[in-house]
Amino acid sequence: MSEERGASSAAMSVDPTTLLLGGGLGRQVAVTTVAVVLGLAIGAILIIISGMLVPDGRFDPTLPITAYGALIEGSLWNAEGLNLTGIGNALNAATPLILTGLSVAFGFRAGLFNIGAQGQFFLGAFPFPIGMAIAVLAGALGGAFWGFIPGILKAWRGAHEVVVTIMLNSVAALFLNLLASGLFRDPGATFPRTPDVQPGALMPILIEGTRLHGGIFLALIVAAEPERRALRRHPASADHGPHDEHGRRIGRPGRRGRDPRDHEELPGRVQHDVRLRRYRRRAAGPGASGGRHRCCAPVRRPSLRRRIDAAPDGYPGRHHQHRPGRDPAVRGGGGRHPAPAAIHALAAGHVGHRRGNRRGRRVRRRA
Amino acid sequence: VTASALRPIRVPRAMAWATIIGIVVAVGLLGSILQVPFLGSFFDWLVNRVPPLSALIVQYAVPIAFGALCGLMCERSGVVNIGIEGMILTAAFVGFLAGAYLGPVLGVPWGALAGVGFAVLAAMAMSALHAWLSISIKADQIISGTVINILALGGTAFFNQLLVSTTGLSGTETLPRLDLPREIVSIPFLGPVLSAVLDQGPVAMSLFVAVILLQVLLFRSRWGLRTRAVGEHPKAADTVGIDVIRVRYRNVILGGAFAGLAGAYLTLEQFNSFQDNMTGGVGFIGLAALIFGRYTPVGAFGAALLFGAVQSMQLAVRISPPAGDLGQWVGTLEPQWFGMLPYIFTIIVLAGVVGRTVVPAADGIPYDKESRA
Repeated sequence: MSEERGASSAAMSVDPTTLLLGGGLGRQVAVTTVAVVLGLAIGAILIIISGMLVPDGRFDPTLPITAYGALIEGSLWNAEGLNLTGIGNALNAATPLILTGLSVAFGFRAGLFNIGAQGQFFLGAFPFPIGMAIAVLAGALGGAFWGFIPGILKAWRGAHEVVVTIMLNSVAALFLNLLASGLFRDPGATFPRTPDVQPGALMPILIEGTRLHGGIFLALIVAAEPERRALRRHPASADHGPHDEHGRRIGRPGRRGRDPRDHEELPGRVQHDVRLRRYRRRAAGPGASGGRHRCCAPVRRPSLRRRIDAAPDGYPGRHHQHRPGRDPAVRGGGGRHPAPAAIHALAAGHVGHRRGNRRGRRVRRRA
Repeated sequence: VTASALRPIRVPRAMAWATIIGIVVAVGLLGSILQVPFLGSFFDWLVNRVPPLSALIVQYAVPIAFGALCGLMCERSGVVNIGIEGMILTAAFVGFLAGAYLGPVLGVPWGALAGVGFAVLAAMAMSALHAWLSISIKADQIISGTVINILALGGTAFFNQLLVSTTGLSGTETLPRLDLPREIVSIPFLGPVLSAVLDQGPVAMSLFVAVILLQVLLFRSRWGLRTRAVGEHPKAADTVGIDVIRVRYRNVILGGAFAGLAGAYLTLEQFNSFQDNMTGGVGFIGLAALIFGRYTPVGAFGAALLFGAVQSMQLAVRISPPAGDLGQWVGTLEPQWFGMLPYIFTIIVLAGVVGRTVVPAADGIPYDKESRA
């Protein structure tokens, strides 16, 4: 019972990426812009407040302009023109953020909240003094293993992934502290740290004088790939209107996305629809959508021929199986039962196939 | 399911606990008789060295238990609160500031008491934000809670840097603590219990009152019935005339008061200063304690004691180290292992217990009056 509840509450939570990306390019840009502007405005307020609170401070509304000016000067553009060093360092700082953000986005797509990316990032960042490719791979594996723990606990035991990942953040920090001050400690260092990574394992520096290294390309490539895939697999995610966790459009057929209530009632509706669909899918068996949800059919329904061959009693479809007296596991239950010629004819494609209206739904005939 | 969730105490569970305790005692006795390595010295440590530390264990358990009570108020009425940690942190900082600034003005106990008041108000303000985001705005409640955590972490660190580090504000007066005479503490059996309950300050003592009061109110009062109804089946509660939104708002904001007490306890009773991220996951551990305690106040308090014991392990082995082979082994361990212990224990508890805990049915689902189902 609690399993069911866990599932429904997970399905309930709206996929934040759908909220952000669910409105076409214009809305995406608008949402991002508003968020950035709001962030800058709140930052400005904090800068003014902190200007007032320091000893002999005063109210100075021009302080944020000075601060943001310095920000741009240091990272983008200064009196001498383009600030290459600054740009390089900014991109360098962005690389781990891109990769960490990706790891969170991945979790969101699966309907989970991967708050513990920081810990996974920590564990992945641990340098191993081997060749660069191996080091990157080892780092990725380390992070993946750390992410695997909450994943398996969620799937297997239903443990709250948010709490588990945050606990794992602390464990990772302490564990790495332990390694850096014990096993991997640099003997010459005054404070706990590991020895430098050997030059062969380091990413090549891209711009002389900055710390920008090849990792940025890695981040960009990795960032581009799942986005492309996601859009290919869920074309609906670039569409208006509510979607369930798999990116399927839901809501009233025919007027999806046009009714403002489709947006307002999202949580309850999502839950209701997802539950209904899950129930129906379970009742109908894998692949029962018959490929109608082509973007996301979990299992393609095997051909009728294969279903006949696979069925223990020679009848395709669930309602024929487990008939008393026909179960091969039961003594005297008979083994393979020859299917009627009509079914074989169907499988061979001689006769058009029209399924009965078993689940009370309209099933359109397919060509 | 609903009926079983509403029933407070079931006898078989008490019997199960009795069985577990019996097995532990039997293993301990066998271990010491057969001289199994580690086991004998461990139980010797548990029986002879740990009970005098019961006050310490309770002190570690207090913020966890208050956090769990905050979570209880929210989750029983159907709002997931993952932002307890942030609320505690904010309350700790605000309480510290108020105590430090008002202490010289108001005198010894009153300055710290005013600090407690401000801490509670600050946490209630934070939980009002959470209530607004998750009840009215119907934002995702996990994100809303995470926002509060991040806001509290960054905000307190920022203002701590600004107000405390630069001005050299050193510490605040702490609340007075009732110190039991050593003769009472050394009474066998009764002494440790008395010390655990009475060797405390006012905030910790208010926890015991709060736990018992909440247990009675939740299962025996009109408010409790309404809260549980709203958390289990808001539609049904609405049909009989309960204002779901109002009940949820009230409970979430009142729950914030408990988080405020946890924060006040940290800076005004346990320690006398504020450090960045001084909560160190106490709010999350409280949430785990709540789940482990099956969403009841007394259960959550018991679980918090367990978590508190694990958290105080690092200090406990330093104050009174175990004897024998266990003592030697513990002496070789790095402190980081003890630091990880509560977090790992939390994960194990969450993984082991969650499947069998009955979560309030409407937990985490924003209430929509017009929705179907």
